[in-house]
Amino acid sequence: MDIAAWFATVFGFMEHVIIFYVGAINSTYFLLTTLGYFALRRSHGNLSRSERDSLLRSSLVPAVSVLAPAYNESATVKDSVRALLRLHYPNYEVIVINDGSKDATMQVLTEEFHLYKSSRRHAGSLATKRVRAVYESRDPIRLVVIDKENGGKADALNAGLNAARSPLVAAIDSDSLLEPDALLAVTRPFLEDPERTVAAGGIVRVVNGCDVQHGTVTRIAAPPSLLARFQAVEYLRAFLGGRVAFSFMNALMLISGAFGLFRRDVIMKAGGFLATTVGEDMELVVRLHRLLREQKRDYRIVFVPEPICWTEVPERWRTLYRQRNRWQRGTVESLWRHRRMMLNPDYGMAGLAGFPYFALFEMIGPAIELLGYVLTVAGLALRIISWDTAIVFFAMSVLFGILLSISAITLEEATTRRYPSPADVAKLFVAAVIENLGFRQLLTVWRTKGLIDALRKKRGWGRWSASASAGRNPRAEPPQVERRGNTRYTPVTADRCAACAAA
Amino acid sequence: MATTTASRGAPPASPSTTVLRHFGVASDHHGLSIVLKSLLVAAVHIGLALFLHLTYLRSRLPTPTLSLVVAFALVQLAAIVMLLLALLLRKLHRELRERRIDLVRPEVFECLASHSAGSDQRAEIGRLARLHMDVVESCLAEMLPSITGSGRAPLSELAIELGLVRRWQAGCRSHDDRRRAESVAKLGQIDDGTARRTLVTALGDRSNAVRLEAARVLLRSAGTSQLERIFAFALAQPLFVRAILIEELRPHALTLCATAVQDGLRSRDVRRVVRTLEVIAAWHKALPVAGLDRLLDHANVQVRSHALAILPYVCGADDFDAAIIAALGEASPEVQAAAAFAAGQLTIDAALPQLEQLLHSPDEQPARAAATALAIIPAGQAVLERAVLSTNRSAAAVALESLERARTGRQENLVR
Repeated sequence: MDIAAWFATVFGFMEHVIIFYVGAINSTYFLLTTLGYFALRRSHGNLSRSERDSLLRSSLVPAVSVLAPAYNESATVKDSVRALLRLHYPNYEVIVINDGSKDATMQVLTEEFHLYKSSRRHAGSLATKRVRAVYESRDPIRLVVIDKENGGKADALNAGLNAARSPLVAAIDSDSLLEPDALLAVTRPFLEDPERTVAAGGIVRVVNGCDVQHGTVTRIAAPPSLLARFQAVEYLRAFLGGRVAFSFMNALMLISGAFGLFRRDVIMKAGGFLATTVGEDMELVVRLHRLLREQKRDYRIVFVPEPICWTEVPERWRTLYRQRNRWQRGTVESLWRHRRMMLNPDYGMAGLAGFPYFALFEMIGPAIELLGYVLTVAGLALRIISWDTAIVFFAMSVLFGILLSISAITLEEATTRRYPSPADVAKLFVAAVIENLGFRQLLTVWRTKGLIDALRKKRGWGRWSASASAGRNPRAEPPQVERRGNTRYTPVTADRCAACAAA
Repeated sequence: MATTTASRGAPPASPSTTVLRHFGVASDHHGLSIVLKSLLVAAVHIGLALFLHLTYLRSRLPTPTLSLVVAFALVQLAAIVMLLLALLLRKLHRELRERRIDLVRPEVFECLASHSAGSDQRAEIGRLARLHMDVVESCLAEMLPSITGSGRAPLSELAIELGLVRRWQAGCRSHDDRRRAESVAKLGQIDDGTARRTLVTALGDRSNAVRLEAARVLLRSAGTSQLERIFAFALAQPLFVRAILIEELRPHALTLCATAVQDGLRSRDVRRVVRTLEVIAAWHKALPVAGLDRLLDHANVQVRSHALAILPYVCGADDFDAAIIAALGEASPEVQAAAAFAAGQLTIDAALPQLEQLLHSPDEQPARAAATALAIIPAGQAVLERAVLSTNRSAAAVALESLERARTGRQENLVR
């Protein structure tokens, strides 16, 4: 066999392997979406008004400490904290952790909430950067502010964990907008099964395009920009399909850093959040699975579709690139650290389904898909592969992608129905089709870059970084507020600025 | 799952559910049905594509690969179109239904109100029911809870005549948890023996939501006669159901203290005793609770600590000063903390030496409770000031925080 023929055979074989892989990934997504649909239909739905009122009066409901790390958020922190203080929950405190902000975050908090230096102890067992002081408010509000040296989001959360005194802790991004009943709703699994439930996460939705007043979403609408709309579809697909399905299997590997509720004792025993990774939210959940399975404990890590956390998604390509790069590196780091779980039946469905899914599809998936695109185009150009094969590949990746995105929106309409206007639903449908014709492929390239960066042990949060922010990024743009919504940093958009001004 | 463990008379686990449970998947029959349904959808999807490929496309397209992929693509397209159509039809149907309901509701409500007031409107309501049964049903279900006295009976009879009660009873046997809960709520409005029996049966349902709804409607409709039963039922429920029911029972706390609470406290089941004590603490009001001295000497630490914690709410708790002081010297930090809480709330001056000692405890929980108690007892503040200057840094910090709270008039952030 001459070299050209051998090359063509290998090329063709690789192309077929990739087609099989893309078919498998899409079939898995499809199965997860279907599973998610049936599981979602079974979910409890929202609390009725009378149930909610009774729970709000009850002192049997466990206390919650809401941990909100803040870094350089002087523009939004006032509204964000006010919104957190307005949550409907019978017994909770808000702990804001100022992670060594270089702007006026601490000053804004002190002036707005009349803080005084408190003697409150923060003597938990987790190692963190030095805590400069703990503040409480003179006003009749349950607010604690920890002022500490910069150490990153995980370090800030650990400082909050040390100071927290309640059995449950909610880790949120201080710039995320929680619906008033979200905390009560996400506590439900802890009330229904207090012994087994160790962590629960709520759904994160895209706030771009919605009206926000005083930190509360007053009108829900589809994002105006196509880029944000693509992400809205993505979020629906990830949360309503994937997470519901994985939660059903008790193989949920990720509770979004934007909104998660944990049992404090379990998290403390597990060693808190890991400060040396950019994907501290995923790493913690994977570690919890690992430790609890190794301890042979009967436990559940749950996704609750009702409680809603609104977050702003990037509307700039560069910001989105950084975010996806960071997410990909976080995924790789978390999975590599706990690689022992891969296909290991000792870790139950987390080891047999959740972990392999993330490793095969989320971690290396983008690289293989990208290879598929390159091989297909190159193969066609070199006339090594036939048009049949190329069509098979594109049909597998694009058509299935459209089906999945449309399924996610249909799922949303059939269950939660948060978009009141048919025009908004139609916009999302259009986005669901278009996103598969370029945007998804671009994300594939970015995520592959993230994978490569992770393999090269590149660290840091992109432009924001607890450690990286200290001068490593000379191109930082002051007007753009860097935020940690779902571990991302995006500019404040007009509607939220209006909200700030109104407040 | 709480629902599974809480259900009564649950059938033994099948091999399939045992396998699901082993891997941590929701292991009730719902879990299995969800897995099967999802696999069925996937199988239909693949099956249709293969069918199309084998029966139609293979003979018409140049290569089998292309035929297979076109078959898959066609099935995908069909699925996309079907999803879109389903969504469109669903939205359309909902909109039309809402419009129709808006048109008919005033007329239905008017007829129901007249019927309830004594004028026989059965013919008219029957006519409306034949055309818009769902609207009549929802109006009736909405109206019944707001009517008391003699006006309820005609509406209850009407619901039976129209076959709604039968429908709701069938709904109570549905596989869908939400539908069962809704049916139970509607059935609870009917003054009928059969309906009542269905509700009592629903107390043993596998779903938290259904059991909760059944208990609530029984409590509302049967009044005080069902109080003790509901209280006993609530104690056996998961926290979600318990917390809601206990709040609804709060207005009847005094009545319940006569027998139901005493029964709970006398139980041999430690968990039940602890839950009863938690309920008394949750009601947060002065109640006559007898037999607490026995619980203060109970062998179980949790019972002792919970019993100590409710002493401030119990009438005649002054008699327990000695027991509280003795409990401050116990080995268990939990009991010590509860005793310190009671000593503080009851301002027991005689407990100051023990509280001061507890302030220096290496355990944070009793130390903090002691500091809080000392801040409440007037003479305790001097003890705290002394502790601030002590060499025990932990005690000094706790004392300082407590003093600060006392001086700023701020309570501890969290209740528990």
